[in-house]
Amino acid sequence: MTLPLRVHNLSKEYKDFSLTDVSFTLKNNSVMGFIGPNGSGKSTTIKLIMNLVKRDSGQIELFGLDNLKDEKRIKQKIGFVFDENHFHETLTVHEMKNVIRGFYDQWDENLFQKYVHDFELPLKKQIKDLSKGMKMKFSLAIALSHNADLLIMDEPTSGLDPLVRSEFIDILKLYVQDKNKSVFFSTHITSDLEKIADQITLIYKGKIIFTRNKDELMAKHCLVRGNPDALDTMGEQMFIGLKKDQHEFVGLAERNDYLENELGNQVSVERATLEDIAVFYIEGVKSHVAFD
Amino acid sequence: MLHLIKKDFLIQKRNLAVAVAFIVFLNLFAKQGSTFAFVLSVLGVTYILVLGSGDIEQKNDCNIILVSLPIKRSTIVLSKYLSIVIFAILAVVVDLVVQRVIMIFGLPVEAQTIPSEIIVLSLVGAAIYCSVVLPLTYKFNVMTANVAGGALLLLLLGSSDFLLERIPVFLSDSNISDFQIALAVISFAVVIMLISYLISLKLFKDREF
Repeated sequence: MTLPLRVHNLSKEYKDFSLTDVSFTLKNNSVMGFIGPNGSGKSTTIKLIMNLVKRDSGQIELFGLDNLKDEKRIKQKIGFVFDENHFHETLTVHEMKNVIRGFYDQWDENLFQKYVHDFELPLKKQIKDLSKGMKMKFSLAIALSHNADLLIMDEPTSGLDPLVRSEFIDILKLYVQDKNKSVFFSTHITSDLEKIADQITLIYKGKIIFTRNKDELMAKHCLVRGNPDALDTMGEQMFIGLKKDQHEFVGLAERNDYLENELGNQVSVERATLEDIAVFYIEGVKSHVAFD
Repeated sequence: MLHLIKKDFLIQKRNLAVAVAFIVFLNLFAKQGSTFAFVLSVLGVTYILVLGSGDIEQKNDCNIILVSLPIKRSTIVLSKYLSIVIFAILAVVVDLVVQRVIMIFGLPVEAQTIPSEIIVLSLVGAAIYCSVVLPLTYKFNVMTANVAGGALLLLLLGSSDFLLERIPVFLSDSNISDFQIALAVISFAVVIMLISYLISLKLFKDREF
């Protein structure tokens, strides 16, 4: 089975920012969370995948096809959700749907109506009168209604309340129950990814820091807190990323027997959230602390 | 492609109403006569509707939606040029209907049967006018294109008396048949549209969103 998404050595240069040798692979029937701070290159990467901007070098393959040569064919299989609304504001939900449905060979009107019912979308309302949450739901309904095998979303839950975000996660869980479906979405709300993601890719300043299985990532890392004396004993080199002041240090490390057994009461070892992992990996990059 | 043109109608219902009102207004109040009103209304309405849809799309950044759909950028641009033809024909039909209504109801306004050569010239004029301005919307934006379009219209209006007097005299003095003239004029318009399309396509293909 061909991979839904493969990015290899992707580069793009702007005046004050560059994406450098970005590479990652989305596995079949998996959800990849694409995380990174604002301005790290998430949206640029997604725009390159969707051919909204032109790459300087590298390869992008979707379903084994080049995203430039086979663009039209590929986009039949992709459902795309933007971070902002770009639909024609003066059209109603129904009218906008009718504009878009004509472009998809496998548009499923029954499926769309099902989402209209589930999301309680007001068909006769103009798009400009929809709330932010409703606009996102409409985008999602469109993306899900043409039997897309891959959902690509750029910060789809940004600015949404926790209830709507929870509904969104439930929808994605249902979507990937089909073995042929995959999801790739960027976000900086890592708590959503802890619930749904299979893989995590972290990007910072245009470079990929890691692509890892989420459960392994979270199981492998821990947060270590202690006083500066303990840090002198341990050495900073065992930390992926570290923050310290005169009273305390906090660092991200890989779980090991030394930490958990030998240091004993000198430090506290806690579960690291995805947010902790991302923050401290970036901290490590900033301070050039070595990591794998 | 038809969906794109349908979209251009749907997103500017207000502009369509303005266009009809513009045609009615010109036919009722243009002092220069019904032929002048006809030519200007076809030109003006085609321009309003072609650039009007572009203006609405630029305000909402809607081209991002179009470019993310399974549709080639060349098709998106081509639909704009096809819409020139469709909107121009629509303007001609509405104008002829308005003039017919004026005649039927005997309103105290000049109305006459528009000769076919004027209809052809109006369609050609609208096509060339929009084709000259459309690439500017891809290079810059609709506002800049409107400034250029306005300047071009003023130039045309300023020379309208000259053109409406001299062209029929030139044509009647020459040995060229009406059919050959029509063919030459239409061919010229097609060439202009093709060049304009190629320029617009290059600009749109290079555009990043």
